[in-house]
Amino acid sequence: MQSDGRPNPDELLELINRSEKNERGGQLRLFFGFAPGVGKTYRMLQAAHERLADGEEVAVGIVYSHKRTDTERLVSGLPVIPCRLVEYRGHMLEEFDLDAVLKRRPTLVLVDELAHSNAPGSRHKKRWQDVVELLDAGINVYSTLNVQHIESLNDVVAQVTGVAVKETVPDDVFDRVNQLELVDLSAEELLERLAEGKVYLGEQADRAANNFFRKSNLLALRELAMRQAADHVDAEAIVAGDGKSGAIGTRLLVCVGGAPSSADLIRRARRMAAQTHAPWFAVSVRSPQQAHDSRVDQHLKLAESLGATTARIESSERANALVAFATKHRVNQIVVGKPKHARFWDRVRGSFLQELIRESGQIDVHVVEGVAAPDGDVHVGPNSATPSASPDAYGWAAFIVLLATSFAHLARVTLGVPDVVMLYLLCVMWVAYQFGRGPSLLAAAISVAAFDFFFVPPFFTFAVDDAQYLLSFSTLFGVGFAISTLTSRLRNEERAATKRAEEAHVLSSLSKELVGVHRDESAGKIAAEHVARLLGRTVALKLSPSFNDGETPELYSVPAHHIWQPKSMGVLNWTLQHGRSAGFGTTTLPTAEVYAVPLVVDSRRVGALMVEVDAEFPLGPSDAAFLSKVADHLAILLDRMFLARSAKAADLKVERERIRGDLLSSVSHDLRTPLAVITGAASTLNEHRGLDLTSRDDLVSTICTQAAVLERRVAQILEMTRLAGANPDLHKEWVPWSELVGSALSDVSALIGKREVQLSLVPEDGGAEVDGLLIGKLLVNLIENAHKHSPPDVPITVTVTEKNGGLSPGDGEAQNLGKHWLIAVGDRGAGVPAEERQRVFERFFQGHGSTSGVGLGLAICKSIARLHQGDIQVVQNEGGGALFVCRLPWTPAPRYDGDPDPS
Amino acid sequence: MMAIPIHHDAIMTPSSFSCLVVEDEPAMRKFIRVGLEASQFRVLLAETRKEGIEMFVSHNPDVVLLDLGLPDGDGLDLIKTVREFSGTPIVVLSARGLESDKVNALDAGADDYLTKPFGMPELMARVRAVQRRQLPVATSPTLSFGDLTIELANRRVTKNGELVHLTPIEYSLLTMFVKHPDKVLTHRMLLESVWGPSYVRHNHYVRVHVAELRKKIEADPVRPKHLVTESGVGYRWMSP
Repeated sequence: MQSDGRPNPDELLELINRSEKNERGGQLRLFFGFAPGVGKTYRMLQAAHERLADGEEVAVGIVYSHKRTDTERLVSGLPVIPCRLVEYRGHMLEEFDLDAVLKRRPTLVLVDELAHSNAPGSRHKKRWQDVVELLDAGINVYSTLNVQHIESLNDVVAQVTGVAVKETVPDDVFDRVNQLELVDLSAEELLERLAEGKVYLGEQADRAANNFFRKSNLLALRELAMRQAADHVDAEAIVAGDGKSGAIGTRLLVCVGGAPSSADLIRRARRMAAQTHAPWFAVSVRSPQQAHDSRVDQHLKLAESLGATTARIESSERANALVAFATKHRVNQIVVGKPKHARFWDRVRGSFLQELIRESGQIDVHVVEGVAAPDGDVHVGPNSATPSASPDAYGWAAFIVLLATSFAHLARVTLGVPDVVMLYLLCVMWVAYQFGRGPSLLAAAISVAAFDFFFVPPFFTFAVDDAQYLLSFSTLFGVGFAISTLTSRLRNEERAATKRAEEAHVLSSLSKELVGVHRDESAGKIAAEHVARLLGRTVALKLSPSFNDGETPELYSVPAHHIWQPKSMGVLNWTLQHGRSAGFGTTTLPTAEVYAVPLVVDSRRVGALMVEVDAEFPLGPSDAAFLSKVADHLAILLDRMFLARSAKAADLKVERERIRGDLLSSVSHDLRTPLAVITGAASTLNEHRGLDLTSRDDLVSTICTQAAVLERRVAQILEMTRLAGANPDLHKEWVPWSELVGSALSDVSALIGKREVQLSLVPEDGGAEVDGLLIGKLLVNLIENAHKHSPPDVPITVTVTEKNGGLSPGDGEAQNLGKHWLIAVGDRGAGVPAEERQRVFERFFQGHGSTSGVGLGLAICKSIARLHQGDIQVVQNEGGGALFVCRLPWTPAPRYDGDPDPS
Repeated sequence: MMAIPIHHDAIMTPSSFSCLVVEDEPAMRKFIRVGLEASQFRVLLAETRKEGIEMFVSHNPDVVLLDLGLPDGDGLDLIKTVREFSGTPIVVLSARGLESDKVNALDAGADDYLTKPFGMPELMARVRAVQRRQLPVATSPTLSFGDLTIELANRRVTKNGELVHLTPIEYSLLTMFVKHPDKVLTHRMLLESVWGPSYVRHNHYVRVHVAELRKKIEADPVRPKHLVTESGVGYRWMSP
């Protein structure tokens, strides 16, 4: 454990990252005061004038002058970006115009009142969010803030002043401040200014203000503000490289539960962490038996907004798991709340706190009293309510007991008292299972009453003759109570298990569907479709530009042609850009009727997922939680897919580079040889003018033949390059074999001279749907090859036959081929040894005894055959020599209906 | 149809015969100039399409050798421009593998093509052939090509004295060929003149009928002597 006070490397790195981030983004200078009226706005305007004088491009985004002439005079000297006018409940409100500023892009913009809440319908709920966006866009911002608006000080201020402040700024925004300027005034001076009417207090001035502006309050606030400013200076010192701040080794963990006091616990932990600049974690630990509590989610969200790293642990040994987590993350201080339950439960279930303290080892454990905040203190995320039984359920409970009572009453002759009690217990149990705890307690109470009324003498009164029945009543009620508790817990667990199983099933089926997909295009589509099916909602999925080639469409909507409102698309794009959720129930564009969650893996933004939210499909907290679970899962799947794909692309690139390398080395040898001969012969002719005629002719004809060789090789290389390209064009047309073979023969006639070629075309007027030039080249190469590898006086055979069916002649699986063409070129040479029969079709393969040529002729043949969905191989010719057989698909002869009038 | 200027004495006196070479590659220009001048031609050189058209207008050459890949635009444009006012023969020079360019050039009005690299003898043969085609065709009613005789007046074709039965299409094809000896006819040209302009995309019609025609008039239809295939471009009727 680190306790020597040395700066922790991770910590320093994080601070440095933060400062780097700040350097890339805009700079935030905050004019910070302890109360309204200390002169923050005035000081901000003065500073802006200084910048203006330095020649900087300054603009006023929004400044509240409150009609004070000296302030107004300062504003009038600066360029102002006009505010938006927003109508709200009949009032015209002036709101800061974020888009206008982003469009104009001044280097510095003044935005007064950082804690301001924007009018409904604005992009962000809070002004600080506007400022963060400005900073992210690289625009410097000057802003103002009072100490009571800092989120983590919120409750302290409320305690001290008795005035609750609703508008707060998250601490991480405050931490982002690059320059903090404390605007200070003594409490006496402020009160003097107040008395002179120099402080603007808003409409509800007097009473609240009188409360607030008490001297004791002001002193406390001033102290808070100064301490906060001093803390900030400390943090800056660390970033600046001093690194000597004492407690930098501190790492803090707060244990979060569902109790309302947890919120207060979190704030206290945040303050403890802030004082020592410690990184801090908020962790919820629950045992698998515990039902999911949505308040825990809210608390974790709150902690996240205060700058904590959050985590959830599920383990039956909670204390152990928590300590393990803490050790792993080098936490050395754990904050937990004081237990609120009766000691009895510790006996029953074991004390978490005691166990934690026993397990904690070197870690300090702070046990802190958390103050339960009044209801509604935590306003994070969509509002939630723990599910409670509907009034109907109570009705049903009563009805069932009455039903049982009438049945028992009718059958009272045969039923004994214990039977009746059993029947009631059965009812209570069933109600508990069906409707939960509340209705079952009602059922137990009614059961006792009815039992007394109908079955305990004297009948039809609530009076009891025999005192022993009192014991029966209490037993009946007690057992009913126990049953209802156990049963409803069982039911909750069963529901939770079912839900978990459902979710697991849903996620695993998503994985399964996506596993078989290799192209991101269909992956995006499949994912969107799946999520839409799953949620029964309209869904859009957008992938980050970096995660697609720019070829595939980025946006997948289900239904495919759903038209999204521009505002909805704004939500999706904002989420994609900022990697945070937006839309309905969040603080960004909350009025949109959509909710978007980012798909993020290891801070890589894969994309964003958006669902439609309307009256028909409201979005509860469990929906939102599930959606973010789906989003996480999807992000991992897509990310993995992208990685695999880029790895494959890299492999392909390597392969292509290898081929290119082969080609170059081959080219350099095979092209240089004829070039060398030509150069030699030409220079000889050039220098030795006196050569005799025979030598001259000899050299000239050498040049001509070598030039022809060179030309053929270049042509082959070009041909191969073209065929090996990504998508060689095929110009397929129906061509008769007689024409294909005929033009091939005329092309090779110069090379083979008088050598006999035996032809056989069956049927004579057959033809194929092929690229005539390429098939011609294939034939030319095969005939040239046969010519080169066989003695000159024996004929070459060329046969083209139509074959119906049959099995593929090659190795491996037997496959019915259907109708196809077989083109065979045979010679009577040495043949191809069995071990070379595969390799002869490889690029740059030089068979034994072959010295001329690039080794591309047969490779070209193979590429051409493949491009036509055919294949080629070499076999032993009957009677010796090689027989090259090319198989091409058969196509019917095209219809001929073009006979003009026989005139 | 435009009027085609006819040079009666062209072949007899080469020195009066001028040849415009439009080619941007200096080495190619030099080689062609040397070769043509050695054969007593007067040579005009142009490097660009623009210069080529200017030279054509001011010097009115007897034949044009045109490289298709010019720095200031496609050689095809030059063909189209020249064909608006002149029928002077144009031989296109083009690289191997660009068969569709050749077809386009021929369809636009070029008379023949040469695939680079080529030798001087091939070049001279082409120039002489296009020049010869400028001579007035003898209006003889009977044409004779080796073993083959065609009597245009009464639509009779005989091979070695034996009557050959041709369908109307085959006969139209044959007359189209023999009226343009030594000239490459593209599929499009043949389809247009024999079947009509609406059939220009049906290349296989030509292929089927050329194959049939060859069976009837050639001694060995796979190794034709009269009607040879120009791979990827069209067909050429070889005059003896």
